[in-house]
Amino acid sequence: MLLMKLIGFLLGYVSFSASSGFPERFINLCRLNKIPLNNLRCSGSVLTAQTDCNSYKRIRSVAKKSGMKVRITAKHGLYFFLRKHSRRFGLIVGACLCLFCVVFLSTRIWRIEVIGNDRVASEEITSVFASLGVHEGARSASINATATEAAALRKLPEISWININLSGCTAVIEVRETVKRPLSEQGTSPSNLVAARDGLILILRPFNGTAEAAVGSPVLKGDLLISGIEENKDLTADFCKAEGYVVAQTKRSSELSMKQSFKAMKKTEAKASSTLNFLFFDIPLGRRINGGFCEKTSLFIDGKVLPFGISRTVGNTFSEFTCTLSDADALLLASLRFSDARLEEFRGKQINESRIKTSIKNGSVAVSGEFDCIENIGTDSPMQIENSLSEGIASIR
Amino acid sequence: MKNRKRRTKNGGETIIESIGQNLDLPQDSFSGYAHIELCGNKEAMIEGCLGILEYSDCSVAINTGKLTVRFNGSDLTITSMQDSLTVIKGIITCIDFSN
Repeated sequence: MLLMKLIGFLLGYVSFSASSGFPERFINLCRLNKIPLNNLRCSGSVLTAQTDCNSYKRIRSVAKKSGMKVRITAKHGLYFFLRKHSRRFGLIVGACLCLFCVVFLSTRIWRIEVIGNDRVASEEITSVFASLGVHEGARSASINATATEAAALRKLPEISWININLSGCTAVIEVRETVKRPLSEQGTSPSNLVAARDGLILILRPFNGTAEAAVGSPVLKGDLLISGIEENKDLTADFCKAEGYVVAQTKRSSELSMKQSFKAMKKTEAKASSTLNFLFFDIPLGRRINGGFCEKTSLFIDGKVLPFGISRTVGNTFSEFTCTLSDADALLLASLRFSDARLEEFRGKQINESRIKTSIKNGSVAVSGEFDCIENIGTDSPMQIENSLSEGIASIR
Repeated sequence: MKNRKRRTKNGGETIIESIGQNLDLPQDSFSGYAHIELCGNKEAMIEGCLGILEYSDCSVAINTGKLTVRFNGSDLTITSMQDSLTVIKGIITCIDFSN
């Protein structure tokens, strides 16, 4: 029945009413003349029914024979709609364009999703896939998933497994990253643990090897803390990688100086331009700007990204000028730079006491600091072992 | 052949009908009777309709050749009428068969 309705809608049908005369004769004559009648309803002497366009042309003679007067009450279907709007070319062109867009866009990739990555950036993965032909706007049918996966694996050494799933217009790239070997397993060649800085040992915990220093003893840079030689009960020696945790109180000092007058860049002009993005097409809306900061905004419908969007590029022009700071500003800037620089240096260290001095002399600002820290000073120092086959003795350099 | 077909046995059955009955063949395939399908009391599908004898809101009489079938009820509508197939929809309360 649904199919009949669909055919009726596409070909068009008319609703008509027939009154006076002989309804039964009219129905029988319609049947004999092979005129299909649908939704035939008789209320009193008025008969209402529906038939297709071609059959209605033949219904006049039948109505005349049965003495009925036929009148169209409504016209339905696509045929009449198109006929009514046949002079509106824009409507027809728009409908054709819409159909083309639907057919064309359904065969393309609109969005690329990367899942399962942690260390490797999604942008890196998508750029590799873009170079292999999997990008926004690419034809879904032309993607050879197996070959692309293999080629991408060769280009991404930190990825151990890749799979592409095409779900509608979205390409989902699922990845598994390689697992790095733990630090403790990296290199098993014999080594000593020596002091990286001067200091006073507070904690000494050897995990592997023999402790050569004692808690409370001062050490200089390069002093042996944990030896990689382990002596056995039979007075023979084994070589191993010395591991341990040596915390010492150390002193650190650093200095930073800058001039009150220096050359800097100043923003003189800012230009902005917009670009309309549609799949892989970029349509500039104005003068194109090379470089600069680009912000892309995509169209969303129900949480799904559509292949339409606008990119706004802002390009700045800079010029060089000489900047002269006041004493207070220069001190503030120097202090900020000093603290920024120390952030990375003191990561993982505890500062017990700090003494910071600032001074201004001859147009130059200086910031210096001394810090009492508590930190792990143990660092690996590899041993060179030479095997003497003739004597069977190992000598250590 | 025509005379042989019209020849009847006791009870008004033709020879072909009696053969069909003995062989358990469907009656509507050769007996000339209409095939009527009912869907509850809401819809009736008549195959082998030769004409409409009476049509109103509460009664539809159909000529099926050997029998006249009358559907009584309310709000009766012939939803489709093509060749020999007729579909009647509405609330059917009674079906009468007459020669």
